[in-house]
Amino acid sequence: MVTHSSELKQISPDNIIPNPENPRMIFREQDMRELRESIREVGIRVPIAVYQDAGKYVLLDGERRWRCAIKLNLRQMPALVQPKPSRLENLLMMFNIHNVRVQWDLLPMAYKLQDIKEMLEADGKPTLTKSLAGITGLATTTVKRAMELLELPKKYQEVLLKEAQKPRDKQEVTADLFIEINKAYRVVERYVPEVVAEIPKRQFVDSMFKKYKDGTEKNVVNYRKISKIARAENTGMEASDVAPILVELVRRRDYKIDDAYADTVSTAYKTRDLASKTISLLDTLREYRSGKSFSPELKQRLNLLRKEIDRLLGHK
Amino acid sequence: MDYIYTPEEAQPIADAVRKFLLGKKYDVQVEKAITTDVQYRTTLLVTKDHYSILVDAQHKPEVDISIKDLVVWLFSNAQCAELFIATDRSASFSGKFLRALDNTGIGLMIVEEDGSVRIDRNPKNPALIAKPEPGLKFGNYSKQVELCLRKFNSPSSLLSEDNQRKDALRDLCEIVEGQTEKLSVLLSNKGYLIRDEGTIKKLSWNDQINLLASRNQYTSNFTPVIIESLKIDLHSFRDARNKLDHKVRSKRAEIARQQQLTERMMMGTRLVANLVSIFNSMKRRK
Repeated sequence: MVTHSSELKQISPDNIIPNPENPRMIFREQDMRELRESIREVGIRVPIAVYQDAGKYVLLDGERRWRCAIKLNLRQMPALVQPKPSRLENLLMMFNIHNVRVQWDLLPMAYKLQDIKEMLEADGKPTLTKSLAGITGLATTTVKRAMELLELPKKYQEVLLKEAQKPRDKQEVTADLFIEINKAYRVVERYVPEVVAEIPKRQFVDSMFKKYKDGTEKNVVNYRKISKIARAENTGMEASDVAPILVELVRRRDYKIDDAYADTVSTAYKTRDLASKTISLLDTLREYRSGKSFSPELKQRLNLLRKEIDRLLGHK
Repeated sequence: MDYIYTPEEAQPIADAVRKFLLGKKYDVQVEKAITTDVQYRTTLLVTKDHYSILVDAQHKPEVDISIKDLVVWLFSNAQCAELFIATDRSASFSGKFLRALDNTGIGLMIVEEDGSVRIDRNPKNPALIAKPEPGLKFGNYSKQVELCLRKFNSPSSLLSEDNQRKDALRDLCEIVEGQTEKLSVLLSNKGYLIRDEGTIKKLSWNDQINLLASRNQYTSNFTPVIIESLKIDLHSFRDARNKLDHKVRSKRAEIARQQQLTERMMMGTRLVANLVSIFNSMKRRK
């Protein structure tokens, strides 16, 4: 981090340029409008931070304030002028200053994380997710999620950048969709490799994305059921039993994940759940020496349960 | 196009409007202030011969306090400017928003799905509003003059065809013309003019003005009721009507004409008041 002293100045917003390393590229209309109204009302109370470079001031902190200042045609704005940092220092400062305040969009952030990773690699420093999280102040899961997006084909990265320009409530596709699709693919790859042999990753992502776009799938969380299908061995089924259904799920556009789930592991998972619940119920029942203290209502329910068990097991 | 403060959601709107204005052969500046002391920069700015068109591109359109301040600034600085909010087809317009447009005189541009731009509401240009000088009295013509002014001052834009300003000026010309004849007939009937009513009514407006201003046309030594300066103004006003339908060949000429229309309109109200005042004083005379 840069820790040198800085100087407070009044600077013309026209002499300031944005920081090329700021990953937050999306400025939303409503947010900007609110900030602008606040500046109009009370002025800029917290100075922005800049450094001087080639006759201009480069922004370190306060890009939204600066943009609003230009819109309001302010002649001057308060700024802390700091010494010019190195590129890595600059990038890390962007993360440390900004990310605690405004939530960046995941993909633009991922691009900058990639830059940091490459610079650290060049310096022979560790670049594990944990190290990146530590150095940037991000949560490990956030770094993981961001880096995952870099594996997406370019066309989907462009889709995400385009969507990010919309107000959040209007966004149809978010990073979460691709993160869930990626996760599902990884599980399929690990537990049912025969599917991957037939279906390359690109085809899998395309198919799952189309299902979401055309409304076959409405909820990104539903993609987790693909992982459950792939892990059929947890229910005592064989991977080879579910492989054809997973292939069909990718190939048939109108085939819903819920249907594939019902056609494969749904009953097996229910049976597994029943077994686990039975064990838990048995343990609870064994804690009582007698049922004398049970309410008439509980006794009635236990009787119903006994009858149902007798029916299932064929007892009279 | 690179924007600094235009939010991403509004940039496609700005691009479409910019293309539309360029198509109309205007030089378009992006994110520039109309003057250094204005307190709000719109997304697009066209300036030509002291005439400006300002467009603020918004995804969720709102007449917020900053843009209202800009309207006040344009009025108080008598800027010859048209201010628009531009948005796209998907935007929804609340009653509050539409009322605010009416109250502030801001126009509305809509970018259609195919990228074309439609002027949905014309703006009011503060410098082109005609307001009669205080104290002018129009007698029986009060209502008619008011209607003409309302028509003339209704929202309009250089960018759109539906413009009532010329019609309003034509209507005012008719009032002045009618009052010129009414005055001539009154003076004739009272024996101040040598010509009789029938002859006067056959004269053109031009000749009626000359008649009222010519000493030779009065009986005995009666001083003409229309002095030289009023005669010049009446002719100049009459001339303006004749030129209303002349085609203009350039943006510059169109802008000059729009500004001239306002001056003529103001002149027209002065002439009506003058003629009414002369008519009333002559009517009282025995």
